[in-house]
Amino acid sequence: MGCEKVIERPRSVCALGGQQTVVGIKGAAPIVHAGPGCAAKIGEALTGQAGFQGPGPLGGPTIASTNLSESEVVFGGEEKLRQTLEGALKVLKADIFVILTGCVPDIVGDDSLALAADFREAGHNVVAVETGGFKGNGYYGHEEVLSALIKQILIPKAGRNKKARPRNKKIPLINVFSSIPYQNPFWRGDLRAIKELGALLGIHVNLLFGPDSGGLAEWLTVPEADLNVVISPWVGLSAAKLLNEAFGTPWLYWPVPPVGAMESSLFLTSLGHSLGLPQKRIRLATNWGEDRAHQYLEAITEFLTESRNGLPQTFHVVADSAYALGLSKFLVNEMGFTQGLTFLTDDPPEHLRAQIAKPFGEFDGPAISPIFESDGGFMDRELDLALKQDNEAVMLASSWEKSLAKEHGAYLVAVSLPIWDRLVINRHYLGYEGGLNLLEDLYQSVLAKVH
Amino acid sequence: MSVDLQNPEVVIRERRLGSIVAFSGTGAELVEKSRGQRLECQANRFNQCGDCSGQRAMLPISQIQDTVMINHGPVGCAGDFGLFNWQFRRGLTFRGERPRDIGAISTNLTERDIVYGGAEKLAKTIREAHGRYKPRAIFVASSCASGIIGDDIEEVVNGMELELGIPVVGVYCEGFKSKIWTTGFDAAYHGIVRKLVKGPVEIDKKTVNIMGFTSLKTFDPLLGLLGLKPRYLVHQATLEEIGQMSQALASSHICETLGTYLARALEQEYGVPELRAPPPFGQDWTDQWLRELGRLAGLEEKAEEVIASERKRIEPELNEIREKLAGLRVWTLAGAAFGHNLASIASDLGLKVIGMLAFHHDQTFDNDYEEINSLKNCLGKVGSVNRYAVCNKQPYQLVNLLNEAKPDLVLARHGYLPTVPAKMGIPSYFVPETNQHIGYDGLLFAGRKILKVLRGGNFVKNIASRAKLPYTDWWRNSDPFYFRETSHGL
Repeated sequence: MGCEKVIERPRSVCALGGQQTVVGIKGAAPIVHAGPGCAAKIGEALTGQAGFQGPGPLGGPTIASTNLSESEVVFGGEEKLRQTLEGALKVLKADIFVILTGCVPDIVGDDSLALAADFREAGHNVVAVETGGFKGNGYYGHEEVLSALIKQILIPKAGRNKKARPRNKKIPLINVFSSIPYQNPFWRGDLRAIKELGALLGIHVNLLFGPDSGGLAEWLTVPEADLNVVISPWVGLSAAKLLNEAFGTPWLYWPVPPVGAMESSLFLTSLGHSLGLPQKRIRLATNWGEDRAHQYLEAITEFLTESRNGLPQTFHVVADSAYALGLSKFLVNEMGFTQGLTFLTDDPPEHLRAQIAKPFGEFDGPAISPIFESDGGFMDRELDLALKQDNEAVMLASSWEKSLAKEHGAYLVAVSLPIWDRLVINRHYLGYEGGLNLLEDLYQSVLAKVH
Repeated sequence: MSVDLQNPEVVIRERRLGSIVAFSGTGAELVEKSRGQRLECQANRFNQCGDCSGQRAMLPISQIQDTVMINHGPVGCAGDFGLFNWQFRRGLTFRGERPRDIGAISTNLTERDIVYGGAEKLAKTIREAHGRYKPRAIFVASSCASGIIGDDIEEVVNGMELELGIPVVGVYCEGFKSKIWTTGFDAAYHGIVRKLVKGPVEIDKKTVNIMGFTSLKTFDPLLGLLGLKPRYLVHQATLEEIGQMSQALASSHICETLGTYLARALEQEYGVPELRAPPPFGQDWTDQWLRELGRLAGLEEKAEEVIASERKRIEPELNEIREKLAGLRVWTLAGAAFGHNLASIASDLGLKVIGMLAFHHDQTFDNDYEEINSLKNCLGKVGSVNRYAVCNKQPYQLVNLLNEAKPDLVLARHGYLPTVPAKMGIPSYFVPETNQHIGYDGLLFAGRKILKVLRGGNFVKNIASRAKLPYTDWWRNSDPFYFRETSHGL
């Protein structure tokens, strides 16, 4: 994979973005085997310029790194990596160490995987992932980290193809692969919202990442789950397939992340059916969720009906395919918005693109064709033309679009990378309340202009 | 060492300035051992992540008006484009101009380019940049990947220069080339002096080159006291301003680490003298700075008048601040020479500097003038500094250093690290904008801000009450320099 085009105004980082996937796991320490600035650049792009998410407990300047110099380029960096790993094991309080390689070792050919295997042999939880920047973008890096954890830790520990140990099946357990740590600035809130959706059905959810997850101990229960749930059009699918091959766990593919009441209920219903839960339990949950969300929605009906003529009707999206799908479907199907330009920035593999784009044609509105694009310069020129036609539109995009919004007097909600004009703490757009949050942010951008 | 403009690549700091990334001792020891560059650049056997020359080189070349910067690398190297954009927009508002976005493009090197070479893609990108922006100059910054695969960037930029008829400047800043990431500043300036600085067309004895990070106009009133004016370089500067830096009364900077390569180049090539005084942080250093400018401009008496009246002007508030801060023990945390500026300010505010951490140390500067021996100047100002540590960030070392020294306050210049003292319950004053801190008013500004930080101490107490530092008990009880190459190590 990989785009052959140049990139102006980037929306993603390189494969080393997987570093922040590791930081997202409680108690996991990345070891960055790369040039001296790689870890900091990724950290800056995916935390500071991603809604000021903070470096994470074992992220930011804490990350151990080989900080490669000329001599390792010439003679190889394996010895330096060994030293760094030995040091990290002594200094850092972590349950698992994940080596991520950068361009330098991946070009000169260091065998980091063998080194990690040596350390595992010696009883340490050490994993290695090749994430040389030229191999792909941050989404690719995320998937590579998932795959390495499954292949190097979960499968050997559980014993390949062995049935997982029996477990109390009264409370179903699912693993969720959804909003990506740090690359989606709202991941922490989104994952918590998914956990709460699960709780409505009385099921236990392994979130695997973030404050509401359980670190390595939780990861080790992944093989025991009844179901892997991929809430994303493509990222996470390869992990679900790997887990299916290794442990026979079935998976539920839910390509449009549920934003708002309608989609949350559809998702819960499908999830409940997949787990064989009683119909009554499912209906109780969805009724409760929808009823609650609608009380809030009704509360803003006055605002919407009385100021509607001055409110934006069209929205343009610049986001990764997961968020573009989720946010768009909510705005079209529940709120009656008109979908405008739709740019998907995550550069998915070619063979998956038709499948990713398909749901956009099935919304309850005019069908649109999304554009897969990584070059922000191209997108912003298209948006510029669209806003010249109609400036009463809202962009669900990144902080790069701030100047466009200003120039045209259009509205902007920064929902995708990079975000440097908004602080993200526990905001989320998934789940029953996620739609309400989106409306609050969207109309806040309108009201902020009131004199 | 003289600046060699024939060579497209800058000579790295390890070789030029004998720069080092690890040291533990007193300030006086470091000054002494730096004479004759007797210290070797040895990193620790265990390191946390640093920064790279690429980051430091791309910052200044992304900030020049009407130019485009191309990074010839994978897209991750462009991870700080957003930050550069934020700085550019903000800087333009300081100049009273409409905020605009930077021009910056990544060649987005992928696996295919690594195998077959990326030179052609670079040429295409330069054409694309020219078409999109119609810039008046284009910069091309290298990356680790482009460096290792051996793309001949210089050949491409020279060819494109002929094709497009505008300067196309190669900036060689592969991260692995230097352990000292500020080599990147030098790389940027090297390219700028080679291709964008024009020879002087008239004598200008009223303008002072100020090498800094922003164009916040605090040097205007300060230099105005002597009837002089600043030329803010190179951030948000126009190509005219860049071209004219060869004609000036003198060059000065907000930090020796940042500015002395450019100052040396201008002195060597065009005879613009580097100002032989510490930068104007704190009132004593501001006095010295103005005095030296006065000497160069033939305004000695005027300078003395101004110094006396300015000191008198700020005295009442300065005394008030000093009274409130008296007895507080501080630790500075900054890239090399800027920490010395912070210490100078601290000392003038009546704070006691008990320890300093610098990200690296230059054993000399490009102009080896005693008057700009930054650390020596610092010790002259604050007295002895018993704990002087050189660590290229390394928060694991900082934790143990702070734990032992237990300062009341940390003065910090660089991001991300101030969370470490916060988690330990130590408040910190973070300097995001250097220019706010210069001159007599800058001293008062710093004092007011520090008092504000101390008033907000409840937050730090709150964070520290539950914060966990990610280090083992073994490490927390170890020597902060346990992993030095020369000590026992692993």
